[in-house]
Amino acid sequence: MSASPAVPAPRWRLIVNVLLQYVRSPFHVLGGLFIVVFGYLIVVPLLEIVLSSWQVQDGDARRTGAEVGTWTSYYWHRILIGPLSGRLFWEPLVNTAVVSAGFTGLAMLLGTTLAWLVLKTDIGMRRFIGFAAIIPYILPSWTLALAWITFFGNDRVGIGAAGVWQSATGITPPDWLGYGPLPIIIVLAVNYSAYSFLLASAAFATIDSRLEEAAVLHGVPHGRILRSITLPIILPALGSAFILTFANGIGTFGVPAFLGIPVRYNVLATSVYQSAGIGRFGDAFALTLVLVGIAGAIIVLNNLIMGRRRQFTTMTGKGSTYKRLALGRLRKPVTALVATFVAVAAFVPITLLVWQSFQLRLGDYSLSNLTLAYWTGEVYGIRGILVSERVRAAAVNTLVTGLTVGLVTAFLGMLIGYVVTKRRGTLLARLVEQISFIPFVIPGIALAAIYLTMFAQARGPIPSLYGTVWILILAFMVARLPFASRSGISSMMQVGGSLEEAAEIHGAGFWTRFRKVLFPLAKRGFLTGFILTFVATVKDLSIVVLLATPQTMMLSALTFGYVDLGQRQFADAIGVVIVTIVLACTFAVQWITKTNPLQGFGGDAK
Amino acid sequence: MNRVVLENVTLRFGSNVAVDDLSLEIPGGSFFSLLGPSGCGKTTTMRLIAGLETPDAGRIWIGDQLVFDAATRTHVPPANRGLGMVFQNYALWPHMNVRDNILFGLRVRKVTKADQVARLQRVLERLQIADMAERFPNELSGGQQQRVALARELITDSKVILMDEPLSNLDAKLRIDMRVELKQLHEETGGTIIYVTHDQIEALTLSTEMAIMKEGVLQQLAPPSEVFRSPANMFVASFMGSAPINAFELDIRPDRLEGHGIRLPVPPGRMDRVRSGDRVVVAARPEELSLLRAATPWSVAGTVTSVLPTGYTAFVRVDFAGGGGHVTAEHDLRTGVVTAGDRVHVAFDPETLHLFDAATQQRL
Repeated sequence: MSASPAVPAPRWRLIVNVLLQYVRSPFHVLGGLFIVVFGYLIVVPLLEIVLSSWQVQDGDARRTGAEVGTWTSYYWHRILIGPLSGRLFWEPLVNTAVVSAGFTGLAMLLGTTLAWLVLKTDIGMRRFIGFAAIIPYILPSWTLALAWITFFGNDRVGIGAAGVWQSATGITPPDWLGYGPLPIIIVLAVNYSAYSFLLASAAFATIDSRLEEAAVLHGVPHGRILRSITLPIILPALGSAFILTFANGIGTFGVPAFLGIPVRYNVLATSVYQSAGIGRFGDAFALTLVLVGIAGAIIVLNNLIMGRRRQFTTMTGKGSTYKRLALGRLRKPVTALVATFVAVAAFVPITLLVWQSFQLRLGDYSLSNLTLAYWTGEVYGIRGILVSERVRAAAVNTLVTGLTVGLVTAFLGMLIGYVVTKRRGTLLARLVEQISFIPFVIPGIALAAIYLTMFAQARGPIPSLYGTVWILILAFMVARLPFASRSGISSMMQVGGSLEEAAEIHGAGFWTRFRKVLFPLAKRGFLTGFILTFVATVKDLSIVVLLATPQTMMLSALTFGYVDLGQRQFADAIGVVIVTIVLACTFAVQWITKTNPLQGFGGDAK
Repeated sequence: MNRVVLENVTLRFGSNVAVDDLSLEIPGGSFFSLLGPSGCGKTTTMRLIAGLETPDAGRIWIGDQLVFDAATRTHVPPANRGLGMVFQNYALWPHMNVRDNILFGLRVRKVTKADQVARLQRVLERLQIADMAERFPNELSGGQQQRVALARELITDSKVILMDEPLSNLDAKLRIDMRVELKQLHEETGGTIIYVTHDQIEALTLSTEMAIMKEGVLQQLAPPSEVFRSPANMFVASFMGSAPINAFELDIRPDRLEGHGIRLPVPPGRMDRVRSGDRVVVAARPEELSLLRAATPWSVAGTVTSVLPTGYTAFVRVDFAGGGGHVTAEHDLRTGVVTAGDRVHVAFDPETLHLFDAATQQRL
């Protein structure tokens, strides 16, 4: 043995060696960095608004009769008990529950039925239906809301122009059909049905067909197999998706803003927006906390239930479908009905927006009313969107923000994936995974309200970020973190492990390993993550309505502003531009990955 | 000086002890196998040597270099340990062709171009993969991938190469060919090979020395023949061998060993550490037993209850006449056919008989 007798090492040597070990380990360096940075960007703000909701805010000294910064129950009292609590909180709470449960349920029903028809029956036009069904999910949900107003709006509410229906029939559609809970539920359900369609398709496609074949051999009729075997097997997966969508949906902003606010129908998200918009941040914080609390509780509950039951254990089949159900005489009518439905949902909204953007006067659907003024001309001294300095600046800002967020977030996602998969199950890995998932339960509007106040003044070494593009970049980065880290983790699971260790043994340092081994192997995932984050940033309305300023205008915020001013044609034209960008990028991803990019990027209601 | 020494190395994963106070001296130039059932800590031990895991206690030397010392928190990173490693799934980088895979280490270490070319040529030829340099891993068969993985380690001239179940992904025929190849490579290079496997035949055929582990604890460290002939404890005895070993717990009487219908003489010179009244485990592999027509002092009478032929030999189950026990013996069918119902005498061989203390399970 070359074992020399153990001489006690000097203390400094020990400390240096321990430090060396940590500094040399990318797992510890990156993990530690993530905890600090995300702690500061995610956990600290949450704790801060908890405190702030119990402290007198700027400008409320007179109302509360106490100095700014002192402890008060004023805000919680105001939203929970006070005379305005109904208007501020209880009504929006009930509305949120109604809308979320309504649209999630309807979307699940639509999506699952569609998936069953496409995958398990001999319905015709299968490819077309599969393609068209996902379009509404790619579009920003608020463009669907605008299109809804264009069709069902009447001349008494909102922009005060007759919709297509009113113009064509002369019958004034009732207000409840143009605005309020029903249209909100329908629009969101159409938007999300594509998501549940993808999910249910995956479930139907991967269910082990031998389970069904076993029943066929026992002579069980088709309908009975669906009822007693297929559905029960995929139900847990769908149930979990329902819960996640519901949790995410309670924070959805754009659609209720366009379809609810004009008739004073508020959900919690629009309530936060209105409180923050008039500077009542105490109320906004309390409402935000309720939103985050409900979403968080639902997620925790879901994990508790799903943790005990592994839902996918039986869904390991190769996806060979046993004999499709013959629809027989019903085949033609069912095909026509379904094809029409998905076609209407996919193409009519865009068509309506395009059409309206060419209307000189709103609500006049004659050919003589068509104009290019809102695109390339000038109306009321406002230049058309293709020749407007303002729109160009917003477009540049949107692209710069989107590209930066996309790159940074996709890159972060990979590094997070590295840390989480490198030593699965260690405290540091678990902490990084959990902390990067927290933003999933913070609705965009809530995150915006938090960052608006947090970064309004200088904080330590960080100067005031409000009015700069950085606050937008930070907010979007945090908002997309759960999705980026999920995809980073899954791609690192595939490429990590021995491939990296082999390079390590051959003398490659971390950056060499990352550049030469990990990144090249995960670059498809990176590219997909990058583009999807870019798309989400361009689509988003909930973050930009509070954080975009005239100096840092974003296209979607511009749309929101034009709708507010009643200049729908400008709003529609910009909406069309956004839709074009979004569709082009999504199909680019589809082309790059040769798969459906939307699969696995669940419940993304912002 | 390519020896590897582990001194009192312990690694815990949470409350689970993966490697428990392990001390090993792996001689330079040896073909050293770490053998054991899955979860015994053999792969972990190798990863500790590689530096991919960090022990909680102990010291590790590679050659004369102290690469790990818990007392001073010394931990030399894997790259600086001068090791090569062949992974179970080969870990060939799928986005690089064979040439780039093999040259990766040299490029990272900034070896000159001319040297790279010369060394590449040498290993490609040695492993007979010269015509595959431009191919990508997914265009290679399992055996070819295996050769590329070996080439990738050989080219760096590492004096110690770690191999983690390198043959387990190959089909049976190829595995035998590669065994021969590995043995030749080892003899040519003269380096140290540390070889992890759960396949005892691989360990027996390849190693100059082997360590058998169970639940993170070293059971026996010896040359293969010794492990097979003189297992250090009951675990090693039952782990080694292709067919399950026959084992009986017998009472020690002054003049005999007794129980389960068996009565055997006391083996001379092996009972010093136990006393009359203690219990002893007597074990014999099926191939160490023979079936006789006539009784001897070392035989036990019984009846054949089943015969499972496997070619020239058959596994024969014999139930003892005295009640209770039974054995499986491997019988050479060319010396005579037996059928169920035959009355036979099962002869134990005092030379090869394994004796263990029933209480400690240690060899006597």
